[in-house]
Amino acid sequence: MTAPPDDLLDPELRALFDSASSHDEMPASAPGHILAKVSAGLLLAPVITATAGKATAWHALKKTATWVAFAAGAASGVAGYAAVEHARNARQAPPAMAAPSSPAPSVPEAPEPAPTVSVPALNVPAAPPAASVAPATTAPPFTPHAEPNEDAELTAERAQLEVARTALARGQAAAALTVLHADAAARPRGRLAEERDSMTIQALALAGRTDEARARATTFTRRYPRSLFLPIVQAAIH
Amino acid sequence: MKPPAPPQSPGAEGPANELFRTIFDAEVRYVWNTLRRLGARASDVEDLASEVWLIVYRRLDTYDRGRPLRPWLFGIAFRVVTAERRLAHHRREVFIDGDSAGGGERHASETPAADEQLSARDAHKLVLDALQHVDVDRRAILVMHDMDDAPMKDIAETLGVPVNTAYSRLRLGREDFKQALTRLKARRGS
Repeated sequence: MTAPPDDLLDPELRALFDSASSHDEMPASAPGHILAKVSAGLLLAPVITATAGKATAWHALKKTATWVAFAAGAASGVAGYAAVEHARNARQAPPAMAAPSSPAPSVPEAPEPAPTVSVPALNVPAAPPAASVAPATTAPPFTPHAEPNEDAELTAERAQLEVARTALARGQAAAALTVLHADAAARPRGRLAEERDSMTIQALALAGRTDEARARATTFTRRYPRSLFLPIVQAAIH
Repeated sequence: MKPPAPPQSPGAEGPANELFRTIFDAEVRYVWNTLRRLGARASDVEDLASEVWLIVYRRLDTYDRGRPLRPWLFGIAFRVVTAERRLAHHRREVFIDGDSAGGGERHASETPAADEQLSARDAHKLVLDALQHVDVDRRAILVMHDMDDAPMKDIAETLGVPVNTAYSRLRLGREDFKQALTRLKARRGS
């Protein structure tokens, strides 16, 4: 492609831009803060969208109270994922304390085995994962729907994790474990295995199975030393 | 300043988190600067960056590694900023936040007589201030093309506009920017 003549930037602006670009404004502490908020967003978003307003959501996470307290503070900015996904307005309201914007999904109370969760029947907000931003080729508006070509397996995997996350948020450890174990059996090498493992540790801790939670946390830390979920895992076992 | 090549490892089967951290470490500063240039206030940029990275984390499996990374990140940052309507809502506040506010952060001793006398910090603030006077669609192209050195084809794809439209907006954006620059310099120098 031949660039039009005005493609070239005049030297004065070039010098100004170069000089401006050489100034490093970002504080050294910012990356750590951003990562913490991303982790908080990963934990909070589904809670906000699925069971917002239910005190039980927070009670269920009592073992991660410290982390959640931090996350709640961070969420004013990170309502993040949920804000982008489903409720850009959520940022205006206290995170997770707002009235539920949609009926809570139905989570099976069933103890062991039989994960009879019918994903399509659930009212879990659409697959979390950032289906909201089409990174490139099409025009702007956010769409909360998954891209058509996003593979079904990943979508199903995400849906299962959302069911488990909702159960966790409601304090239903057994239900969460049922879903998580079933998902692990069905997709031992699932692409969201890391997230699933972190939730399993939370669920075990919530169920009072502390030794198992700690053992899994040790494995988790070794397997994913730079995981975004590490703070959540650590908070769950302490 | 050329962007780094898209990360090639770990492979597609590798843990997404490792890839995320690789990209995060390499591009956290780029995303920060992009948000600022798009109009995010200094006090908001950390939160907005968190939103961007949360989306990046969730979207990573849809990122085509054959494509350049920065336009993809820019597209996400652009949508986060515009979706928040921060630009329209806070445009004036951003301006007031900046160096051009009525004496707020201006230091007479730093008043430049010429561009080459500007410190990098002053140049940075001057550019951010001037950018706030450029229409956001033009600004996005100006930033990507003139500051990020992105090819126009990638810019057009990222923003979903025809290449000719992108060139037109670039030209208009530069005009807007230069006019704003002239006004700001006059004010700083007075």
